[in-house]
Amino acid sequence: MNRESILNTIKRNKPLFKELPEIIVENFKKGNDLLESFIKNVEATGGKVVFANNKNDVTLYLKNRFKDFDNIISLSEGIDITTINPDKISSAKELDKLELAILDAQFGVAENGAVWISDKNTYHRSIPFIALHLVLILLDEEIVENMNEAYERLASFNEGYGVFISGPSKTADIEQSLVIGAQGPLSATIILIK
Amino acid sequence: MIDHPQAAKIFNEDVERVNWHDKSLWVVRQKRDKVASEVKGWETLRSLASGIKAHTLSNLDEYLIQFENQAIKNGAKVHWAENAEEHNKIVFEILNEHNAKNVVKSKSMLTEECGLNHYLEKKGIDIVDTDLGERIVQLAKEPPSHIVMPAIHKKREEIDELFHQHLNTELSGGDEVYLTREARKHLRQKFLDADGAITGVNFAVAETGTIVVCTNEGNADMGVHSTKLHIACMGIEKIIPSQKHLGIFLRLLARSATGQPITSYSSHFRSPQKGNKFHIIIVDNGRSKHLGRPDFRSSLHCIRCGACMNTCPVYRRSGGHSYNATIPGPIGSIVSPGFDLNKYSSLPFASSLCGSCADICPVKIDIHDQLYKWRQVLTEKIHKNRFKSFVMFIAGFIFARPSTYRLSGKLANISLRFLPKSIIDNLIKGWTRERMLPEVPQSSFEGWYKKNRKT
Repeated sequence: MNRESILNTIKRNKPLFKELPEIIVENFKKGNDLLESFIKNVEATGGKVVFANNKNDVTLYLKNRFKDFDNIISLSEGIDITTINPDKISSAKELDKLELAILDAQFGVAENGAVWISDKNTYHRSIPFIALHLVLILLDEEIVENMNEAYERLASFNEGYGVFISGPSKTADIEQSLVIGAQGPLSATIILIK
Repeated sequence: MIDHPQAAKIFNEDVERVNWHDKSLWVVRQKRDKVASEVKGWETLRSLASGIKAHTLSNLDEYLIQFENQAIKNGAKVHWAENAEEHNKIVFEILNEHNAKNVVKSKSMLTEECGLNHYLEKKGIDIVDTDLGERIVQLAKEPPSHIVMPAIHKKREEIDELFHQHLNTELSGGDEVYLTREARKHLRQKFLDADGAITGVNFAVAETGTIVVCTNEGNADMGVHSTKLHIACMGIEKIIPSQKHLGIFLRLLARSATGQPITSYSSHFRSPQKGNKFHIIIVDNGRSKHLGRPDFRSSLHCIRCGACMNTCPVYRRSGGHSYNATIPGPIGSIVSPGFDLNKYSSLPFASSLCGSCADICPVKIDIHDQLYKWRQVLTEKIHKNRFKSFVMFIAGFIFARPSTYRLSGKLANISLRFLPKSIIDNLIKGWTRERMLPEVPQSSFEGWYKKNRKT
């Protein structure tokens, strides 16, 4: 069988056992202002940062900024501007017209402006990718410094799917010229709630 | 078979294009330097990454078994393929089982290595590469010329023409925003019509059975979440022990690859969405054999960032296609001879051995040392050249005898001065193609020293 044959060759050919090096997360700490660095990096990745005091503020802001949109899914409690009932969605095809998706993010990473979302935030996994515009809601105290700390936070993560999202989708495949908006959302906005 | 020097010569006929190609890649290298310098403990990250990979290889069979167990628990089906042919067959069987005819694929150098597209097309399956760069080269019927930037060799006007031909776009003079938007529309339809999605794998976590896929365009996720079938193809070397190790590798990968602090999406697939199917194919294709080559096994550390290509003076000036291998550039030149020593015999010589590749490699592969070692193997086995051996023998004879050495020096001095240029050029072919010989001095250094020492 393939499996046995591959494993046997590996067993025969692998080098002598080498110890696994230890990661000392503390050593990577810069101790800089997390919020400031997070905002800088979100903007550097083509994302937008907006501040709000509470979800009421957020609702007002979104209603104003995206007033022309008819196809909206909000999965963030307290932001009730949904027009497409996600319960009725059975496949991604039905989401093709989705103009705006609003999701809660669990935490952000200062060093690269990424935020973490997982199954419990996405409802249907295609929602944050197929939407034309993506809004992610994050509490401003939920920011870790770097990816090592991020995975410390995810130590007990056991859901089926999770993703770090940093800015909107993008590409530079034509002569290295950056274009925001490739196969996923054209824009990504992080709303930081105090 | 075209070897690297011949292919590079063809690429170098268009001087302007060579300079443009060289510069495009150097810009990426400079971006990498800038973001790497902003990370505290960058060198520690590299050492850890190298150490984690070395440890994983020393226990690879156990980690693969652990990964398989976890993946099965998560609801994935795991397959093993010994070679490219088996891999392709398994993919086709899975697609067939699900009656999938329209397949979207995100970037995977492994499926490129296995020739999957070609295989599936022959079986009547529409397989679409969904990364913009890969779609460009797929439409152009070319292989990728770079592992991270597959269409880096293409000029905007060429892409404009290509899209005009295949996607009925207007000629735009190569407007990147227009072309990207048109590609988005075209690919969106492909995603929605797809009944199967194939992805590569950047990292496979043994501890949790998770696979991690990194993209900027969101195309892997668009494909996987639009269909009910996800097939992930991975080489055996993609394993890392635990989830926390992702913290090391994800910090290194995008910074080394494109100078971004992280890719737009780093997706962790553990179990399929309800009602969907998730298959993982673990592929060997010569890797376990390569593991048995102590001098060369560390090339299996590679995380496919492409930094060695961006920095390599030979790659930048000869283009990815001149390597005629799935993986071009310095890393390709040490991996490919392991697959087929004869076919890739010119690649370890496609280097100045400057060592920039090893300096930049995020997992510290000693690329230039391995290039040198492959040269030893190749000279022994393939490039044995009687004329060269004879010349070396003569040289040894001369250098061992001072008077013969002095005499031959004088002869060379006189010949260089009085022989016609055409004969000299012919004797040292290659060296005088783009430069002139310096003027021959009146006397040798020894002669000069003897004369001047006394005064």
